[in-house]
Amino acid sequence: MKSRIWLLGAVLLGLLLSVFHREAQAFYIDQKKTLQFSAKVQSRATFRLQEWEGYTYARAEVGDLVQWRNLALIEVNHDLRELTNTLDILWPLKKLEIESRYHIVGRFMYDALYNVGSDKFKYVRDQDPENIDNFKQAYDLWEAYADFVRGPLFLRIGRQNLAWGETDLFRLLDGINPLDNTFGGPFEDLDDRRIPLWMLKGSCDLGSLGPFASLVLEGFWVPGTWDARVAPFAAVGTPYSAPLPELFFPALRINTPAKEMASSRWGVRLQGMVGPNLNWSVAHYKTYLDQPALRSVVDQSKLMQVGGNALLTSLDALLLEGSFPSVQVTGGSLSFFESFTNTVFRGEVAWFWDEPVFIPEESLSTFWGPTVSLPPAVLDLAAEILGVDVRDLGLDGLPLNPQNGQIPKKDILRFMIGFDKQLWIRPLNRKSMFMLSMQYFGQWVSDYDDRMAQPAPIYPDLLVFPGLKEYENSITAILNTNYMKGNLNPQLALAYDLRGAWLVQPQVNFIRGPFRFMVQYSAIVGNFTNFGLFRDRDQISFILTYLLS
Amino acid sequence: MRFITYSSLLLACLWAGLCPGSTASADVQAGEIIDESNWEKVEGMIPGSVLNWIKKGDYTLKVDDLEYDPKAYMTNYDKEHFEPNKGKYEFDDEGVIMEVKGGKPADFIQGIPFPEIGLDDPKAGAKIATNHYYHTFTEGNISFPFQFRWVGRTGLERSVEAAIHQYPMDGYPPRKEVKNKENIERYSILQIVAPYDIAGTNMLLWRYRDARPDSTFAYVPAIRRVRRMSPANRSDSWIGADICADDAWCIDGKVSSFTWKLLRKQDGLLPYMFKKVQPIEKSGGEMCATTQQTPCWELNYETNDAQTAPWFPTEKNKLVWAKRPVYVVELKAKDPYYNYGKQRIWVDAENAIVVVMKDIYDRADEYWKCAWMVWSAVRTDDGSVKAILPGYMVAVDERTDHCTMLQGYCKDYIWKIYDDSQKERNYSLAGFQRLAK
Repeated sequence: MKSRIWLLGAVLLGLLLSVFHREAQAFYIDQKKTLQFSAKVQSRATFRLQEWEGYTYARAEVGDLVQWRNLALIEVNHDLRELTNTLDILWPLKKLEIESRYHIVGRFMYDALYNVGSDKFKYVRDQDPENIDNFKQAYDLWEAYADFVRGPLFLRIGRQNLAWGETDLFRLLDGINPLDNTFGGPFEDLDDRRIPLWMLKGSCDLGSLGPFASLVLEGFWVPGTWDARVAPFAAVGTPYSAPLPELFFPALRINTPAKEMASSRWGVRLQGMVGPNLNWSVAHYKTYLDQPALRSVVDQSKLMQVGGNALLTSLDALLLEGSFPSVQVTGGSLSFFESFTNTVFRGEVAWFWDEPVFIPEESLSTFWGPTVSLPPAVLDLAAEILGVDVRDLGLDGLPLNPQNGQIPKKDILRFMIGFDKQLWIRPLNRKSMFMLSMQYFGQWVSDYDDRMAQPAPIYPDLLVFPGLKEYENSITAILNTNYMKGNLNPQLALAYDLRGAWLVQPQVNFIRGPFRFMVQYSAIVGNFTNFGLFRDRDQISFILTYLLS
Repeated sequence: MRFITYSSLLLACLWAGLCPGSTASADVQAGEIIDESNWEKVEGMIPGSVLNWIKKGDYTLKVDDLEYDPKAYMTNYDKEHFEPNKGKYEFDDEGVIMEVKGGKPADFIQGIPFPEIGLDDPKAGAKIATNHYYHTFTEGNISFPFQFRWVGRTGLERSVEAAIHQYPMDGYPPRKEVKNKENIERYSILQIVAPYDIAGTNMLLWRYRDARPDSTFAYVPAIRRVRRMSPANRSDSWIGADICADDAWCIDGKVSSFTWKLLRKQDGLLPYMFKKVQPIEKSGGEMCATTQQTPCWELNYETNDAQTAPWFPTEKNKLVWAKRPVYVVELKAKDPYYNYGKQRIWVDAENAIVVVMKDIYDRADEYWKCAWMVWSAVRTDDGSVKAILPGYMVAVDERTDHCTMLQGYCKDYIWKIYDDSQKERNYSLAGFQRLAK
């Protein structure tokens, strides 16, 4: 069945390729130009430029293909205003003076890595064929929504993305849709990672009130019975999976929220302007974070009972569970055009209520509880039999009456201040301006616990984790311009975590007719913290895109 | 009587000789083709940029008479308020339109505000530019889909399909009773429709009647958010094209952000799209739309036998160059970082005062680019609605020998004026966000 759908998709794309010509002319079905088709096909090949280190698995080496992602998007936009006047079935819309339209995007994705890549990745697929086969390909109704407008009221129903706030790269108020970090990790463009959700979104244009102008009240609701999906966790061994000890793999379980009303996401936002130059918004929403909260879980039925006590004697009794507790976020944003410097300043602040955090002593408390000490000779023997030396876990014996780990929670304040400035750098480009965008991100943990850490052990230890400080800071910058009449678009993106991790991503996009050819280099250097966890994944990507309209 | 005539002639000669940039004009007849062999005949009647193309063999120009009087194709609102507005308005030092009586900022303006242009008026240039804008306002809400094409010597390089929507809050008499708390002069939205990678990008402009800088917002699908933009980048190349935002309609900068100087009034040759008036149809209410009878332009690069530059229309679609009274106005941005130096616009002095051609100089005052916005008269069958619409634009960067052209209204791109399907609410932040994907 799947292969037939793929074949159908391929034939359809072939037909589209042969029909469309090279001018960017929107393709309409009807004379009145209300029903528009457009599409793109893209192939992205990425090669690793660095050898694996630490707990990274699979063991990719320099030059290994780590991604060959093929993507096709077919989009339909239909404005129903004309039809509303002529089609009887739409009479209610006419009667109620409702303007409507719909939007559909079909997506076909296939990553050829596991078929044509190196043996390392074929092996990963062979170890877990069902999971990887699901992971490497998808064909779905990616976006599908209908809009209804009546006077000041607007309603959008269907599968859609929604972004709030003013930040780029890192998300504060923009945490509504989950991100798919499985196919490009931190190197992938944020918007390409968004996963649309089945959602009801509405807004009401309130106009002006006192000193406030352009007031808009907006709300969204993702009923949990419709859609409770969260950010997917990269399958073990795939190129962008988190660096984790192999020992953890069999024990790793990811639990996603149940498809029930309690799993709903929702939020409200009020936005407006003060004077002609200041935009502001305040918002509150409920969502799920993209990273699962990890904790150890013990299967009590598999413990050895000894004189009224239970002993953990088998790794089968131990699970590393990832779950997605909901989080509520309250915050605000503003942007301000300052005419003296011709700069747009942006700011955002968000308070994350009861966010799950990782404290090894609590999250993995199974390993910090009482133990029955064993002589070194017995531990040596156990290590030989189990393949695991429990002393690596900081233990000198077997955990006695082991308990499940907890998910500690903290309130966390995150904020951003930044600016966008267009400027002439005429020695470099006399024809076009440069766009410089910089952001400073800060984070402060309320009721800080100095045991807090990031959930990725530092190689070669199993229970030593990079810490999380009370205050964390990072800076991002993007600089871009265009040459050759807009056909050559270079960009440099940088991110710097003040604890010593750099992300550098230069890229250049070349436009030729309906083709787009991009080369993107991505590198992370520095300490094993924040995005530095991926510091052994430097890569170069070649992206060829064909636009069918 | 004879003395007066001779005196006038003498004065005219002195004027022509003394004014900087002014040249004596040769005379040409309808039906003449001007090419590299006889370019001297039009010297002084067209901008230097066009003359250079003719000299180089990049363009041949056909002089012809129009089958209509362009002056008669000002909109009804232009005409109705032409007389009443004479002497009614004046600029203050900030470039804000004031009422002469009472000296207060102008209340709602109906039609073009400066029907009379005094040649010795130091603010004549700014008044001409203001009339140019207000003329478009008298066409009510407009909705103009179009295609931009990047054309080099080797032909078409790429194209972008878009639409501009404009909603005037001033100049258009039916808006007189509408509340305008924010003192908006006009709203406009630019929507990009194709190609796929930038489709969905939208830009919203609020231009104020007072001296405040524009408010501009952009929705970029890649970030899925409406972002405030700096209005200071209006001289930046628009996604790499040979034009910038301020080149729309030939000029689209805020009047108060430039200094203006009327150089002269003279006879000139201006290009028109068609010799005949083109039809428009009423399509409900006051709204009128162009029809599918108007052909799209065939350009030289689309044929194999073109002798002139690839971005000009072929012989089949040859532009009509008609003799017209012309204002030549020089403008310069007050912003020291503006990417252009001086600009010289050629404006039809009678026909609703529209800007037709522009020579652009760089910051060192070296000639750099030129742009034409070619207009055409349109009317309904019953003659109740008349207007003049821009339909073809060409902007040539002489240094890179490259052009960006705009394919305006034709059978593929139906343009609407007095488009009452548009609502002011579409231009609020909430309305703009509804366009977001």
